Amino acid sequence: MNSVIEFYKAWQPGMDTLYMSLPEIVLGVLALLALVFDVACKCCGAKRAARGFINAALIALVICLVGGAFPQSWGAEPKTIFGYSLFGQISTPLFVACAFLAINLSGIVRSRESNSEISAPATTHLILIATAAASLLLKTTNFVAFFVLLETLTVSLYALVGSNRNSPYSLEAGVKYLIAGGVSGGLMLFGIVLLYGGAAMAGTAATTLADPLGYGTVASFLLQNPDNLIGIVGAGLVLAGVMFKLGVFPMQFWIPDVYQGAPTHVTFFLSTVSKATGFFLMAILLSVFGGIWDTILPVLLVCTLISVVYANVTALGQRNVKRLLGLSGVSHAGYLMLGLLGAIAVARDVSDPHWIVLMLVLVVAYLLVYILTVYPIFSVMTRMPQSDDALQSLDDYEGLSKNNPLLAGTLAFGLASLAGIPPAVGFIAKLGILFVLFQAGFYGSIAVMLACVVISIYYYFGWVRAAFSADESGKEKTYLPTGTCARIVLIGFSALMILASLAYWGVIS
Amino acid sequence: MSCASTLLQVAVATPLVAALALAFSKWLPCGAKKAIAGVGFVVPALIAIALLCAFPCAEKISGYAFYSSCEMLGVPSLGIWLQFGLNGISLPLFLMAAVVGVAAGLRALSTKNVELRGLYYAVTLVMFGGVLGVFSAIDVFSFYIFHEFALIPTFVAILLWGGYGRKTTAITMAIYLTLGAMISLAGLFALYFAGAGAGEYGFSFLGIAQAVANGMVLNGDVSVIFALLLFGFGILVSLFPFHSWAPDTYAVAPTPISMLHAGVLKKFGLYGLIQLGALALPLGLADWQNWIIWLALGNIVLIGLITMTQKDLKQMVAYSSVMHMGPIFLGIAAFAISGGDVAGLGGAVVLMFAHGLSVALLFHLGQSVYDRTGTYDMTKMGGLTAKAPVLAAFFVAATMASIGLPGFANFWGELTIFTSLADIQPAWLLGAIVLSIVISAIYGLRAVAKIFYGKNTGVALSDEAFENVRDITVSERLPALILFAALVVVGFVPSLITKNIDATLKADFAPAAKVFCAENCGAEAADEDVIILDGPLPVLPAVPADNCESCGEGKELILAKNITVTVSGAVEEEGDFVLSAEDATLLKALELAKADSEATFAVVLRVTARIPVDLDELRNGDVEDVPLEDGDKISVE
Repeated sequence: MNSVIEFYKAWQPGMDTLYMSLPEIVLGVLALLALVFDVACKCCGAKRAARGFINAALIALVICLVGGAFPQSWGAEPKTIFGYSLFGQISTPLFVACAFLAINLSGIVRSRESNSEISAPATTHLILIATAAASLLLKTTNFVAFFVLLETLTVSLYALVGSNRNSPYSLEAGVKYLIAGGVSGGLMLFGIVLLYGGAAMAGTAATTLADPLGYGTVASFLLQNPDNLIGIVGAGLVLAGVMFKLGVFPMQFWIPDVYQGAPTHVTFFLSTVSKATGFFLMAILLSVFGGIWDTILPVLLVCTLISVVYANVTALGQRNVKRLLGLSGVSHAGYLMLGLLGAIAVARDVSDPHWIVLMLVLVVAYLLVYILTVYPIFSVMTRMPQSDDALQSLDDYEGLSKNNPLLAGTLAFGLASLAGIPPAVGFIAKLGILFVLFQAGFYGSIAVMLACVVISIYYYFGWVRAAFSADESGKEKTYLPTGTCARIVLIGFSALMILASLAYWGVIS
Repeated sequence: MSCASTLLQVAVATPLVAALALAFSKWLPCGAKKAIAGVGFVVPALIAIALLCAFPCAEKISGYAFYSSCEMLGVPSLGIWLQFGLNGISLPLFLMAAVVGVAAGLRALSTKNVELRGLYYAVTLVMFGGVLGVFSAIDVFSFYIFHEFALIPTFVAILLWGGYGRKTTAITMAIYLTLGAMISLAGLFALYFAGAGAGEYGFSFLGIAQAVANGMVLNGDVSVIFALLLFGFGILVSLFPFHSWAPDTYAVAPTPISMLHAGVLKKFGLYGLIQLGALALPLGLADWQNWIIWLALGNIVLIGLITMTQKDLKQMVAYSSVMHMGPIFLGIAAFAISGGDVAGLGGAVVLMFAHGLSVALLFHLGQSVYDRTGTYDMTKMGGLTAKAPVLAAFFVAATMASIGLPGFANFWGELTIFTSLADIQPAWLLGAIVLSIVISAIYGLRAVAKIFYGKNTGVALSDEAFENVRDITVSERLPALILFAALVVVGFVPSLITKNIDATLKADFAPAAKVFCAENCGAEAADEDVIILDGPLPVLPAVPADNCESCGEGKELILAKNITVTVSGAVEEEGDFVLSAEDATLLKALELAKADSEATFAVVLRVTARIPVDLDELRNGDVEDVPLEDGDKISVE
């Protein structure tokens, strides 16, 4: 019982807890404001002003986060359940930036006639809530808070995925995501319960009363009892739930369907914030589960390799662009996982902290590069001429280079970066992952990864090929307009992809 | 950083900057686009010639002139950062890249009826910048990245301006090249992690050359690393049987792209094999030399026979470019076959230089033929000499060059390679290799005969149209003249480039050559310091260099057996001594070690015995001198 009391005490929002979660509180306020504005602002101009306000507030928030206006250091010892952050300085601004981009993409998506049912304030609200939950999730040190926040994130996503009520694809995707997410959430909860049981049993023997749902207790429980079956199964189930978010075999099955059905801006949100959350959680939990590393490493490695191969092979025959991107996302999640496993393996071998940080930074940089790369691609996707979001196929891209060279060029850059071709930054990022894997001595994984990169050329370049070949269908294609601002953004992102590859090592070191 | 180093960087940057400018040139008039592109093409060529002149007296670091580095781009603490420089091997290739680039650029500028003209120039310029970077960047990863620069431009160029079957070809090429690139990337990483990047200059050709000179020991399996590099680069260089992307790509791609790709970019892999494979992994080369020989024979004989059956002129040139990779590979293998003779490598570099020029010239002239006849099908042409004599003359010259006739640069390359292969086993292989000249003569001359001699067949050109055929224009003549001049100048004055190549090869490759020497002439007698099986490059103090150098000329000396003994104690020079097995006696050893004349006692220790000797008696001839065996240890008191 004591532990439960401890837990409720921790939930009392003391000043430090509030202070630590200030960015998330700002996000929550903005999310509520989005709804209030919808009711309060009747005329078009006022609505536009309200949208402008939220955008400006998000930009300001990112600048404040990057600039360090919020508390930067949480200290070595977490005082509250939100006190902990391995990646907080990166993840929060990253998530807010992604939310900003997703909200702006939703504006373009809604201008398509078939998407008129998507509600703007609800989209903004849900995206901001999900972002706040994801960001707070990475700061928690307690499995109950962990689960609640993860569910908050996932429930927002259920609604977002099904938000295009006109489209049967969107509704179907919503239901599928709900069921799959429910199953994975159930598994994860079961895992948490098992860990709690194990840690509490061990805790009764110990003299100090620790919170058996806290990361620290669970970590020391696993460290002391690496052979405990309950601990191993519990950790495995929790990791399975995280793999669901990240999209790694065997929890990747939902991705193509949901990516296809979800409105494009939600797909973008899924493939950035949701995936990144999964990745960061994986990194945090693997350090919590460090005690059973030797047991889980082979399992995770095999799952990752299967998902990399599976994604690349199944993507070969794919014509639907969103499914293609979903599968490509699975493969990139696999590369990220490989890098993460390699980095942790290196970290356990060497003691030089500088070196460990470098390994982790290389892997996190891959994630950042992935997000930097997919935005322009999604941005191009939202402007394509087909009538239904979910039915965008490679054929729709034919003739793009002639009709709209800017979109074609941006797409080529983005895809080259995903494929890992210099001078786009994706290559340098892959180089970083390879560096980590070589350092860790994962030679088999390197071979698989390189083979998969070669396979992926077929579908990435197949897409570029569609964009750069002549249109033979003879249909009139009208692209959604690309305003001056959007042009600048697209060119900016393309330029960033090259500049980032030049500055990559400089920033890293 | 000296002025010339800056020039080198400017040469690489100019085409890329020009390409960037063209990407935003939608509103510029056509003339302005051409002017921008022209600057991008011509400036690097002028700089390359200036650098060639400046090279002999430039300040050099281990053979690398015009060194400059940019530590911002990379992590010096990991040994990876951008560095530029040229040595005797890369200088001619850089020059070739620049000359072919300017010719390809002029070809692109004079092409009519191109859609998206600005993009066309931009794509060609990006490729040009990439190939210049390949041969001037000396840190290994930048060298690799510059090569990859070309992939997307080639892909886009084939899709937008390619010939028949471009969609399939573009994807095939992209997959093949990425496969090769990934395998070689794994090889480069393996080399890096084997400890090749530890020196002052990091993981660069310069750093590796210095490390090799200092007796670097790689802590990896050199054979595996070399295999990764060989097959990775081999795919990029269209080594048989990984060549099938190349002919289609070159036949389908627009002519300037084919010129740059077949002429210059393909040399990337060979250059890498020489600068990394042969230099740092000579034992890997020795392990794989037979593979190289047989696969290169596949290039020469099988691809050669395929080339002979081609009816399509561009296909024929494309296949011939694949075929000519064979002798170059053999030149690299000759380094191992001949037991450390660097002449084969030199021949390979010269042939790379010459082949780049000659194949670009053939592609260029092929396009001119196409412009006149409207087809590449040689069976449909004929008798063009009557109407276009200058074109015919150029074409004949280009064919002669590609066959390897004296007077052209190709001749020196092939000659050197063939002579350095003299030791090849079994000996009949040499005959098959020299067959390459015969094969290229057959298809080359047959093409000349079909296109330019005989009568107009009337299929491609009606008699009326044939009458209206004009000889090549000035804008076509200029690139042809540039390439032709380069071939002939080097053909008559090969020392322009060979002097530099020789100097670099002799300086940089001596340790690698010694490895083969140690294998050949020390196989029986060398002590355990010299027989190296597991990869580390040797530090070779134990075998006097004299013994080794002679093994190139006289076979009988190889049979002379040497033994090594260790002398310690009351001598002036302690340590290991090498004696000829026939007269290896204790007295001789003591004489070499300058034994103290007052020493009275010595012990010869060997595995099987311990022989004490009274030195006074020995000096007086009272006891017989002790014959020594390999590995004996002598202690003098």
